[in-house]
Amino acid sequence: MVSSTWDQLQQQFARLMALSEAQREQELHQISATQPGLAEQLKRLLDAAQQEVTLSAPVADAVDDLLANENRDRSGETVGAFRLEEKIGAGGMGEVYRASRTDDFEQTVAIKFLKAFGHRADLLKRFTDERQILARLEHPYIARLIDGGTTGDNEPYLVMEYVQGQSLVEYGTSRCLSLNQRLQLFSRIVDAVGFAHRSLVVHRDLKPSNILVTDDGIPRLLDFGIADLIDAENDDAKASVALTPEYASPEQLNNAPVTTLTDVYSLGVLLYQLLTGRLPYTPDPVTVETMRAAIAANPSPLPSQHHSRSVKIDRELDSIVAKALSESVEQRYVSADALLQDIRGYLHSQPVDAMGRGSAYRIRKFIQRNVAAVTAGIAGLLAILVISGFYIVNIQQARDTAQAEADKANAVAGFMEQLFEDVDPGETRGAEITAAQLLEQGYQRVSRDFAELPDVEARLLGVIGRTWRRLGDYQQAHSVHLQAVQRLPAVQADDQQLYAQALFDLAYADYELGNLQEALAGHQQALQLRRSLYQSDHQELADSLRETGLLNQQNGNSEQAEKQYSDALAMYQRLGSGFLEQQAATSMDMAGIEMGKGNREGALQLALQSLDAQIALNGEVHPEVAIATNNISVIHNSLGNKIEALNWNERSIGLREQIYGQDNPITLSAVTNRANMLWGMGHTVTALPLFQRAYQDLLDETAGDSDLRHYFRITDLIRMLITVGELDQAQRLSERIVQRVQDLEGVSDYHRGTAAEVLALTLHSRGQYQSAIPFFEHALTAYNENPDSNVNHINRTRVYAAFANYHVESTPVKAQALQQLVTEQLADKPRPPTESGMYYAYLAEIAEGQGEVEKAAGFADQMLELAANIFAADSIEFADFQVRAVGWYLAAERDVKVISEILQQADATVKQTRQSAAREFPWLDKLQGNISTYRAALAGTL
Amino acid sequence: MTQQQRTRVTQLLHNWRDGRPEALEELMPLVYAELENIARREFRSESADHTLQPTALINEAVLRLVDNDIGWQDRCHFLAMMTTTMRRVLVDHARRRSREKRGGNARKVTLLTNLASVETAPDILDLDQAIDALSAIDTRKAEIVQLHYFGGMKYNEISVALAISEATVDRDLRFSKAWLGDYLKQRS
Repeated sequence: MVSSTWDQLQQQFARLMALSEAQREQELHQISATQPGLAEQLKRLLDAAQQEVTLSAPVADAVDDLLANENRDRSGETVGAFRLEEKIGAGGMGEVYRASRTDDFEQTVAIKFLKAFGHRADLLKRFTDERQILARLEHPYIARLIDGGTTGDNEPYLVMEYVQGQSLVEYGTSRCLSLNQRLQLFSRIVDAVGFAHRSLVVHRDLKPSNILVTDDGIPRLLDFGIADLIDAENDDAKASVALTPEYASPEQLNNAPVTTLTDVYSLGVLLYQLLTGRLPYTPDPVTVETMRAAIAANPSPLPSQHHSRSVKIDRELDSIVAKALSESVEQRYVSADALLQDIRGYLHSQPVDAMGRGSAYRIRKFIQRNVAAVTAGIAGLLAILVISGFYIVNIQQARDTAQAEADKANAVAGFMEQLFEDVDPGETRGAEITAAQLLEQGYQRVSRDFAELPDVEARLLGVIGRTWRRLGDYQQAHSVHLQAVQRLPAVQADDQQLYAQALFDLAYADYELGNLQEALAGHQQALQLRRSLYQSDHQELADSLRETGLLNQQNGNSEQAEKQYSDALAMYQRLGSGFLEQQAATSMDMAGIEMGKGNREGALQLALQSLDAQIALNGEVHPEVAIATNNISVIHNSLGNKIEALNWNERSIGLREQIYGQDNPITLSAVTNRANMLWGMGHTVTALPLFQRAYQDLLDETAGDSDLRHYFRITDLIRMLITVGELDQAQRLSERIVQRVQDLEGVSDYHRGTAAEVLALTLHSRGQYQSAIPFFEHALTAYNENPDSNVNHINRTRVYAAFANYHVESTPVKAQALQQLVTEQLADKPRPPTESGMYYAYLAEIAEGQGEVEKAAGFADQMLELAANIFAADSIEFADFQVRAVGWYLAAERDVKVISEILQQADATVKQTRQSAAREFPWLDKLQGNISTYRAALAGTL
Repeated sequence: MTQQQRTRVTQLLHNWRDGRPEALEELMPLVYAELENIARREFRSESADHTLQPTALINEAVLRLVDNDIGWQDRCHFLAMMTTTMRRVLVDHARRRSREKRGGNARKVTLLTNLASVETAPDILDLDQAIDALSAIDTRKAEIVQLHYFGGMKYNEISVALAISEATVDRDLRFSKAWLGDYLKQRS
């Protein structure tokens, strides 16, 4: 019923929109006879369609606001009875903060904001219900849900027990646990999962990061049941949001119903990883599809097939893992408790259930089907072992040698640095996991092994922190660098270089985290230190200068920023071609500062430098080059180098079309620039189609909606249409704007005035002087009401209005008044030269009307002189002025040779313009006609 | 942005599409940084008084973030995904801001600054609410509106992303604009 009304509404809306207003009224009337409700709704929609709804403006403003205010840390805010102290994590579900009670009780908790949860009321209800069930889940190995609620903003959060510990895998690798220790740890986890299952709560997202192990070896499972809460948001048809493909069960990957056996499968993956350090399936890339395919294709290699020095895995363990990892639910352990029994059985050397009934056959098959995969797996494993092996050996070496000789320690640390920096976070998912593990491992060992060698420790911490940064984990990077800075004051003055680097790294991390004040202070400190360290050019010094410059700019100290940028740039340049990227970015930043100061020559040099560096780095077809070329064009234009500006602009447009396509807004913004430049030069006929291309969205006369701010750009287009003589379209568009301005509340007086002005100009150009006058008056009133109105606009409109009046009835009295007004205007303050040119034309016309032909020709001289200053000599606007002048020169019987020369030029321009124009223009016809008439007149005088 | 980083971003987008929300955590800072970057570095032509639409910024950010040789279809899907996030991010942000500014009582902020103040102009929270209301009646239309306004996506892009014809996009959008306009008018 509802949907049929909805369909009807849409159909009728589309139909009625296509009708004229009168027909529409009639139709509405008819509909209301039988379906008054529908008619009422339709009427409202049709009304709305007629009005401007500025739907893109709020989005635009929100983006502006966002750009101005990102990266907020909520530390210090109060949520419920807790004060947020520190952001300790951020995941797909939301941010996690360490928090403590605001009252007298001492309690540290973790507060998790469920960002992915949205703000929907129905979900909040479910959230409240489920939370209570979860709060009852009390078990020594499960992190307790203490409380939960929603902030004033309906943002749901959970208060959880704060667990200080390492993730399961990190713990396993960093402690070098024995097989028995690993299995004991694992059995506690299974125990906790079993308990939850008995309480009818399924975890659904078991993975190492959800299992923390405290220093005394107690596991704590986090986020029980949270996945369920999150997924409440999703329709059944969609894939689960809370899903980690590596640990997800086949049924999860296939969107099949999830049971407790899903957790059993994930436990199998965890056990596999705990035993081998590897995941059972490692497709590249890891996605739901690739995981699904990998599982379906072959069983994973058995754990014992991975070589390991520390852990010996036998067939019984293989079979336990294989059973937990069974693709089909039927063959899996029937419960977590059943899995627990087998683990415990194994630990006590009892027979294992998984070995029973035909499983030997299954495992044999499993191995037979897997020879290739197993071989590949071993190769990958060896690679990791080689890296880790080096790593362990060299830490030891570093420690030994450093104790003997600091220089050697540095050399070893340098080697370490190389080793870490060779780990490429971007390459594959697999490599990223390795890098993260390696880092975590390194971090643990560094603090433990080098406690008495703070300089070695700080150096290694620096490497680890910078690698975290490259991996995008700024929080981790920050805490590691902070530790380095804190360790270093103990170091003697001979390693100031190291201290400066640590300060720099910490400030960098602060910047990434949005702590601008801290970042500025840190960079300044590092800069000062490096200045005293390096008496000559040095990359570190240049980096410090540039970063301090950036922070100064961001904090609003543009003078200091400028000095530092320019010092940095000069230094990078002296340092050579290895620093092109730094040169390019620094140059463009500086060009922006110079433009802001009005030093355009300086800005141009910098932008050109930046461009050279960009091209050397990225080649020609690159977004950075497209931006740089456009910037250079804009600078040239502001310098008055019109041709240069056009050429650079053309290059930028070409690049943008190649990179983004013809109709992309980025491309069109460069097209608009071109149109404006050409128009300013007087090449109106060339500019017009460009404007039409750029504003095609706005010109769609059937479309109802567009952002008003953009919409008013059409007024420029209308002026051009008037010039080229396409008066029908000019009138349609200007009437439309005037109409909308009336319909809208609160449109500024300026825009009201502009709208009226273009309509008046159109009417005036059609010779409808009488009808034009009220709109000129309208515009004048509107401009006058706005205290910020441009005086030129007001005066210009006064002249127009007086001129229209004069055209209605050209009495000598009016002529005199008009002449006086225009002369006053010309004598008054500086004005746009285009207007002055027009004013002389008006004076010439008035003089001619009074029969003063000599005077008129004199004005024509001044007019032509001004026009020559404004417009390009071969532009159609200039030709127009030339033709006008010729009219007055002929009347004044000026020198025939001069006149015919001018006509010759104008004729060539008109022909040239006509040839290159995309279509016919009435303006060109009129000019051509006038030229012929004047030529005939000239022939007559000869 | 190096090629390597672009490959990484493309990978993250794939992960996200495959239902790994944590990919977004790594993605969003990159997108913001890129947005800021573009906004900072692209000069405005003095004569043009022409500003880049923010939606165009998103568009460009995506183009600069993902591999150049990404297919048209993938690109449309990515734009659509970015748009969903963008809406969420903008609305969350606006909510926080209005709470900060007004101590918890969200009231309208004056918009359309260069048109002086238009009191009736909706803000992003109104728009968000209106799109939700539309979504309750007609999900597809709400989705089209979202892609159009929050992602600056063109008809042909929306058509690919949602697997519907361009004519449908056009028809739905016209209707939706009127519907939203009416809805917002009734509420203001």
